[in-house]
Amino acid sequence: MFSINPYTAVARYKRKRTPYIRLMWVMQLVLVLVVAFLLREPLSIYLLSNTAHRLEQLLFRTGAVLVAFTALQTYGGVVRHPERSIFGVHPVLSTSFLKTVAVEQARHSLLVVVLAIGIWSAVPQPWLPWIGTFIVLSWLGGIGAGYGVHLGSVWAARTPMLHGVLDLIRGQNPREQAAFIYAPGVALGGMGLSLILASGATRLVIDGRMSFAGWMILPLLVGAGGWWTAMRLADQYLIRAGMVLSDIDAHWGVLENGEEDNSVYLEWLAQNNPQRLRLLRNSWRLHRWITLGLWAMGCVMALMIWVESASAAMLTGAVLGSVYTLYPNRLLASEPQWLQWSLGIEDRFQWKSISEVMVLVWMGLCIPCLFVVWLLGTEGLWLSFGVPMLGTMMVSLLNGWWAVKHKSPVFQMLGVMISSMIWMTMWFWMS
Amino acid sequence: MIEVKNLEKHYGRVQAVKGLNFTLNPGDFVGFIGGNGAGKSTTIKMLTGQLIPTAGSIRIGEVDIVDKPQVAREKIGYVPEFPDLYTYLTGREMLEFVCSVRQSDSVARGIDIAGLGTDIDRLIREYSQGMRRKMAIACALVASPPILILDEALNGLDPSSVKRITNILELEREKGTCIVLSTHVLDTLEKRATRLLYIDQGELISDCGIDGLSDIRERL
Repeated sequence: MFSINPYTAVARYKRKRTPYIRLMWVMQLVLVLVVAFLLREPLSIYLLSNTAHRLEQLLFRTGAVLVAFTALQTYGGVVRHPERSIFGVHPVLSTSFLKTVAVEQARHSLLVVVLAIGIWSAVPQPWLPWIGTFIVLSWLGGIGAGYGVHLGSVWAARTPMLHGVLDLIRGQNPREQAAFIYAPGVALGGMGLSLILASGATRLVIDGRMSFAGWMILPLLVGAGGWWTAMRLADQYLIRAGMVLSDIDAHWGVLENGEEDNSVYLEWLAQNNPQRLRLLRNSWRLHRWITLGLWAMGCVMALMIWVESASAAMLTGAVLGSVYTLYPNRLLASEPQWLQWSLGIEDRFQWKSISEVMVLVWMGLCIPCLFVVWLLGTEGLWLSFGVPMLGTMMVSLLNGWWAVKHKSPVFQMLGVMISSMIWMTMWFWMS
Repeated sequence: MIEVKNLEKHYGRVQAVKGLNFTLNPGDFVGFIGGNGAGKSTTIKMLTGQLIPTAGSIRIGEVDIVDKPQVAREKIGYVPEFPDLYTYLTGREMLEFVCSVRQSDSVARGIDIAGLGTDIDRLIREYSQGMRRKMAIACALVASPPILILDEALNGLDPSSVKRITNILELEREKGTCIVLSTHVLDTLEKRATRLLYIDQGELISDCGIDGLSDIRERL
């Protein structure tokens, strides 16, 4: 038997025996440090005027982003834990499990804290310890609040008392899913007042009014309350979360309208090409959020360019483009390689089909942006956006080749860095 | 030991399970039979506390599984149709994990049940499908739970492993363990089962002794 918490023991083994996780963390840390370096100066310039008000507002927003991020993470850790099918068939030591998940979550979300502190690091030095304290307390509070809310949402999903409320807000979703969807919002709402008070207190402390320092701890207290609640609810509701989730998944698994599954994005482009057709179907049915998300973000970036915030659009493009270079791996994850080999499909043909789908999906980001650039007619913008968009596309295609050839993840990480560098180079040039 | 009353499961308009009623007792070796899509796995998932029934109740002793799903897990050793294991653990470490959460110290017994020899100390990601299935069975049996539910757990095992594991199951049954085995291999049930539950299109068609097997064989 493990002499320590068995879930902690498993987590340690996982970290030790999956080296690419460490590599990914390091690469993410590098990315975080680069983004923090780029954003620290704009933030400090923003605070030069109307300082007190802007400081408080930005602090609140920083805390809110941290709480929202940790709340979403908690959903993945508590409700939709990826290994639930493994530990869920056995008795679950609920409180031990939650403690392990919380520590692992803190380990992963530390990057967001580093990012937040990094972005704030250009403020006057005497401010930084207080701002850092606020950030850390908001982060820890967000983690604790998330656990209480998500286990509470399992209760909310099943209790007859809230059926009426859930029916009002669920739309097409099952009642249980509505409870899960709105849980992060509840976490944010519950933490909201504490963040408002704590951000105000931080601003006052920075002004020299030390008597308000105690108020900074409010987010942590609310988070501690959430954690305490989670410990009380764990035994009864942690396992039930998996049962509720199975119901939700089964609900969506039974399609009311078979036609929905038959329509595929840009299917008409692949009628005579079975490989391309299959990949388009995989892309649409399994990763629809990527296709739609790129179109949505393309429109957001287009709006940014239109209102003369091209710099912000470039930074957004840098993040999206870097992540997009990893898309071939997602596409290939749903491709049974044994079938490719048994059908005699050569790697280059598989790569060609992946490349075609990659280009088609990437166009969702490019078309809105380039359309606005064309409307504005500014030559510099064509270069500023066209070059990195093309660069990301080329890097993605190269990553696709590496993915088909089953190269080490280091190659994919290099692709991420190269794409980031192209965008950042053009950003510096434009600045 | 397990009492099922008017058990139903609907997915929208689809009725996967319709009004099942049966009771399982200690020492029963129940063959759970049905064609593909008959509702066996859905029923088993409800019995093991993985799914919430739409209607009806499942009680283990005096405890309702939906109210206290943890009890289901404590009393039931379950092997799903597609078992999942921590692939970055060795077989031994996986058994140690299961023994830790089940408050048992029978790791050696689990290693014996798995029958993997020196491969017990290899990472599970290096195991074949058959080896993983043996590991899953060992994880279910290691703590000697009073109820064992195996959903097509013998699929993909070589004949000698099937024989060895069914011998182990028989020994467990003699100790009073209630065993539910869902399988398409009727020969295994013929040798071991004391009772048969035949389900079709979500309904319990037959609840009979082993002498009803030939009748069920004809229906299938």
